[in-house]
Parts: sequence; C-alpha cells; structure tokens
Amino acid sequence: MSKLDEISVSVEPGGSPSQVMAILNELLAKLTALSEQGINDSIDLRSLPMFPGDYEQLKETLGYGEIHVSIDAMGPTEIYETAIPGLWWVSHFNSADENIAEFIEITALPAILKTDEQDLREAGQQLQQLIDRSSHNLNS
Amino acid sequence: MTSLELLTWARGPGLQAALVIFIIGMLIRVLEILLLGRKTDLSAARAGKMGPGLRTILSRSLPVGGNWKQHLSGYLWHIGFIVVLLFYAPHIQLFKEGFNIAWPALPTSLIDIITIVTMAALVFSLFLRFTDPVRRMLSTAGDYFAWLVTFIPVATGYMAFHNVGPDYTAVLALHIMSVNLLLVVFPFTKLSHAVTFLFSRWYNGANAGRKGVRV
Amino acid sequence: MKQDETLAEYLQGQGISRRGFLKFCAATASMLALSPGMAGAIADALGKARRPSVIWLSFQECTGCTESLTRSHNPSVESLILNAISLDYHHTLQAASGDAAEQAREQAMHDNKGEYLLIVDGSIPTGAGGAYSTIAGMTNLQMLEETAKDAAAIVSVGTCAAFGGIPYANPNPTGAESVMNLIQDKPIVNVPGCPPIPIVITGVLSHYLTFGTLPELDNLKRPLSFFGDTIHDRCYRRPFYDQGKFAKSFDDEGARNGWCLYEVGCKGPTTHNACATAKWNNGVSFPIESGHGCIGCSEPDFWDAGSFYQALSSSPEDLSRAATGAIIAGAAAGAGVGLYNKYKQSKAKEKHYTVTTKDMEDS
Repeated sequence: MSKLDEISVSVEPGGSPSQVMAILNELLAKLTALSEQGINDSIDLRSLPMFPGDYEQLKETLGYGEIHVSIDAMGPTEIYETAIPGLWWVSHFNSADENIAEFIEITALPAILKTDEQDLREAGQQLQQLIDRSSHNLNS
Repeated sequence: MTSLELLTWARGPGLQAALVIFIIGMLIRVLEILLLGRKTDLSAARAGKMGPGLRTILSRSLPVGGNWKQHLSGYLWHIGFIVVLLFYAPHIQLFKEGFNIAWPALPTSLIDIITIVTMAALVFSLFLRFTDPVRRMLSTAGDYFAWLVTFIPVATGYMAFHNVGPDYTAVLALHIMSVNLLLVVFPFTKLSHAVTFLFSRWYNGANAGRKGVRV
Repeated sequence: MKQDETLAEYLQGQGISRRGFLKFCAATASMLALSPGMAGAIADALGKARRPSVIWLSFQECTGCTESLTRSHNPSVESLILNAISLDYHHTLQAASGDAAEQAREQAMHDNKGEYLLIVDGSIPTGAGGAYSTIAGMTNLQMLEETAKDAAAIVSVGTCAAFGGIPYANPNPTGAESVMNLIQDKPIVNVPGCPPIPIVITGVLSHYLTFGTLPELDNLKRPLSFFGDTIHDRCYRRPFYDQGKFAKSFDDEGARNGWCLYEVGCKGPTTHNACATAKWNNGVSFPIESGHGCIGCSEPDFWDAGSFYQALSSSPEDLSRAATGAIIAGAAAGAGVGLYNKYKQSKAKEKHYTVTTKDMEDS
C-alpha cells in the first residue's frame, strides 16, 4: 500500500463545498444526549460522503486532548480524545497498516479500552499460574 | 422489465423511432400544405401579399383586448419550455452526441427556476381553459391530450433532476418515454402548429393584404 | 474443520483477543452499514455462531471477483471472514486438485446437507448442452444444479453470476445465464459489481454469520444495505451536478477542478452500489474520485446499455443517420402525398361540369 503514498496529491481543505459543519452539528446533538441522558454513541466516518479536505478539516477543528492510546490487537488501533471532552477519535488498522474502520465515539470511555469481564475472571487463574511458576523457579 | 431495461430501450430504439416518426410526420404535414398551394390569383392584388403576410405573423403575437393573462401565461410556458429544452446542459449533450452541434448552457439553478415557472404557467393556462365557459365549450379531448403530452415531459424532467421517488432510473425512463410520446403525436395533433402557425398567419395576412386590408 | 465450535472459540484458538474481536465486530458493523452501536450485538451473535460450511463454485468468470476478495492482506476483516467460514471448496484458493477436490466438495455437501452456503461466481453457459465450460467432466449447469440442491442459500458474486455479465452481452455466443434464471427454488442473494467491492462480499457473509439469515434484498435480489442507494445519491461531486458544472472532456479544466462527470458518460444516477461510500482499496478512492465516470457495472446488461463515454441523456443509437434517413423518406413521402392531393384536386376539377337553371328545373 505504500506505493500509493508515493503519489503526491495535495488536498486543499475548505476549497470546495464541505460537510464538516453538518458533522459537527451531529456531534453536538450526540454530546448533549450523552451529558443529559448518558447515551453512548458513535459515528462511522466511512459512512459519510466527505469531500476531499473534509477529513483533514474535521481533524484539525476537533483538535487533540490530553490522552492518546495505542492498542495492539489484530493490528494497531489508535485512539485519542479530541480537544472536546467525550469525543474520541478511533482509527482501526490491520497488521498491514491498512485502515479498516474509523469512528468518532461520543462516550466517557470507548468500550475497547476497558478490560473485558471474561478476561478479568480468567485473569486470576493466569496470575496464579504465573505465581506457581515463579515460586517453582525460585524453589528449584 | 426492469426500469433499467425500459430506460435503455427508451433512450435507444425508442428515441430513434420517435425521432424518425416526428421528422417524417412533420415533413408530410408541411409539404402537404405547401404542395397543395393556393388557387391561381386571377385578379391583380390591391396591395402586397408577402409583406402583409409577414407582418401578420408578427402582429398575431401581440395580445388582443383584455386577455393579457392568457397571453402572458402562454408566452411564459412556451419560452420556458424552449429554454429548458435547449439550454440545460444534459439536453445539449443529447444534441451534441446525436447531431454534433453544441452551444453554451445556462446554470442549472436558473433552469430549475424556469422549469417551475413553465409548469406553473402550463397549469394556469389549463385552469383558464377550464374556467372560461366559451373556451371550455370549444375544448375537445385533443386539446387536453395535447396539454398532457406537453406537461408530462417537463414535470418528469423536474422530478428526475430532483430525484423524486424511490427509483431514479424509472423516473428518467418515464421522462424519455414521455418525450418519445410527444415526438410521435406532434405531427398528427394540433401541436404541429409549432410550424404551421407560420403558414396560417401568413395566409390570413396575405389574403387580407391583397384586398388592401391591414390586419 | 471443527464445525461444532463457535466463532468466538475459533477466533480465540487463532490467538485473537477480546479486544481484537471487538475491533473486528466494529469494522463489521461499519461494513454492514449498521450503526456503530451495533458492534456489541454483533460481538454477541458472532460469539455464539457456528462456522458455516461454504462451497464456492467458479464458472464462466475471469476470477476478478476472487481477486477482489483476496486482494486485502491479512489479517483484515475480509480475510478474517474467510477464516471464520469453512471454505470447503474453491478452485483458485484450494490446495487440492482433481478427484481429491471433487471428493472434498461432495463430502462437504453430504456432511452439511441443507446447511451449507453456496457461492457462485461466473455465468453458466447453456449453449451446446453446456459444453462451453466444464469442470471434472461435468458441465457448469450440472454442477450448479447438483450443488444447489442441498444448499441453504446461494450467493451470486459478481455481475456475471448475478445477471449474466460480460458473457451474457450481445450476442451471447455461449448461451450464458445468471444463477437466478436457472435456480428458482433456493434463496438467492445477488452481489453484483465487476468486480464487487470486497467489503460488500464479506458484508453479506458477515450478515449471515451474525444473524443466520440473508440480508434484506431489493427487487434484483441485491442487499439493500449496499445497493439501496445509487452512486449519484452519495457522490461527493453532487453539488457540481446541481449547479451545472460539468467536465466536457477528460483532463479539461472542469475535470481538473473535480466537476461532475455526467457529460463524459458517468452512469452514477442509474447505478446502485456502495462505491461512493465504501470506496475501493480499503477506502482509498473510487472511479469518479479518480476522474472516470461510473460505468454502471452492478446493473444488469450494462455492457449493452450504450457507450461508457456517452451521457445518460444522449442516445446510444445513431440519431443523425436516422434523422437523415427520415428527412429523405419524409421529403419523398410528403412530396408523394402533396402530388397525390394535387392529382385528386385536378381530377375533381375535371369532373366539374356546368349546371344551368334549366338542368335544375328538369331534375
């Protein structure tokens, strides 16, 4: 896929009609629903017809917050909270660094960041096994 | 038949056949009139014939008496119809690819407004025909049919552009089929006045002119 | 292939963590054009689903559909789906060949009778008794009928399988037919496109995996979630169409400004597909964005619907030739009619005779 990156294409944001305002207004509505009714939501950036330049303009407008998380599960996933609290930009990539999905989540904490309950239940066993192995190593 | 099959037929063989029938029909009409000619004029004309004839073609275009509403409505939709037909870019594309002639287009937003005015004027003209007792009495099925085959292409064209309805392909097919219908019935209904009006106006003017009467 | 383990168990066995699975479900929701909030529901459903057996039959095709599907590097959503299903038979992808391959197919059909998914790409020739395309001594038609008999459902991938495609185009020398014209007693999903967008193919499979049913279909049996809108409905160049700003030819100034491609033949308005939103090559671009009009490849008979470079508003027929012919014929006919009228007139004049008052008194 890197060959495509070698083609120099310059995109000028704001040059043509833009969808950014519509998206920002939708985010505002969802943010209000979150703060008033606790409803978690997300918008799928792939499903919106965006003009060239809109994506960059949206990213620039929302800005960057305090927290940036890198996840390594079936390829990298990058999550960061934008300058607007509660708006998280989630980018999923596969192990060939191809973008497979992109969302803006309107939530206090994206679900993928939290540790899964099933994993927690099995974690005790996992740690016990580690302890057993370590004590065995120490004793032998 | 799917709507795409109908569209492919309508813009292909359908349009081609309609065009052929239109041309042959109109040529027969015109040549019929011209070749029949007029009776030999056995006396000397008082005044000219060609001049008064031509003058009448123009003078009949002016409103007479208090029927300015009818007149304005008629002009609005006739001119609107021709402007939309000839100056909307996709229509020009049809002429360009079909006959190798092209000319600049008007902005689509302007065409859109003109289309609305055309449809409103057409409806108003129908309303006048229906509510005026004399015109209503004189109107036949042919008059209403002619109105329909003129209105439907404009309406369906508007609907297609604005994506009215669930199936764009079907609406576009309908638009082109309605144009095909218009072309086919044109020479055989009063719609042929588009050409024959020149002859009838000229004839009346010339006839009066040779008697020395100014119309 | 352990048919009785759930998808979640299988993925876990493949070393895919809970987070990886969630990521996969989020991407699947995006692919199925579902609200992202559905990712959780998908995770639940997929977690409990069994790996379905899938038999893929390739007939009169160019392999473009398989290529489209496998062009993504793994592990991606597409390859994950391919791994999540049990692909028991596929000419291009399978390791076995010859008798071994046919035996694998028959075994899969027997073991999963009534439950396996049949995927078909390529059209089926029916001319010359089907001799135009045979596999292992069987005609395509025979193989299709035999394999379709105990299938749960059939997915026709690509315009050839869905509508006949390029072999079906005029004059159709092999008597090519689409799957839905040959099999009428099984649920069929058409996934047309030449080729289809890979994510659309796997989207249908994902739907089947998640919900155990086939997605909602339009009147041509295409999944509404991908084929419900036309390209024109979602095209980012729509404002230019609305304003009347068209490129007149490739690489002219209008084209370089990204104006609407209607006049260079774009069939976007009459084509239903997801190209304008899902795009190609993992969302990089699609034909219109790259400056070429849509050719309408997910619609039936698009090969015979006129030139790709002629606007939708123009005619694929030769209008000037027809017009010239009509003018000549019309002139001749008009002259004929006119002269005949004159003849009738003179004949009527000949019949004129003088009538005197005496004649009238007599009668």
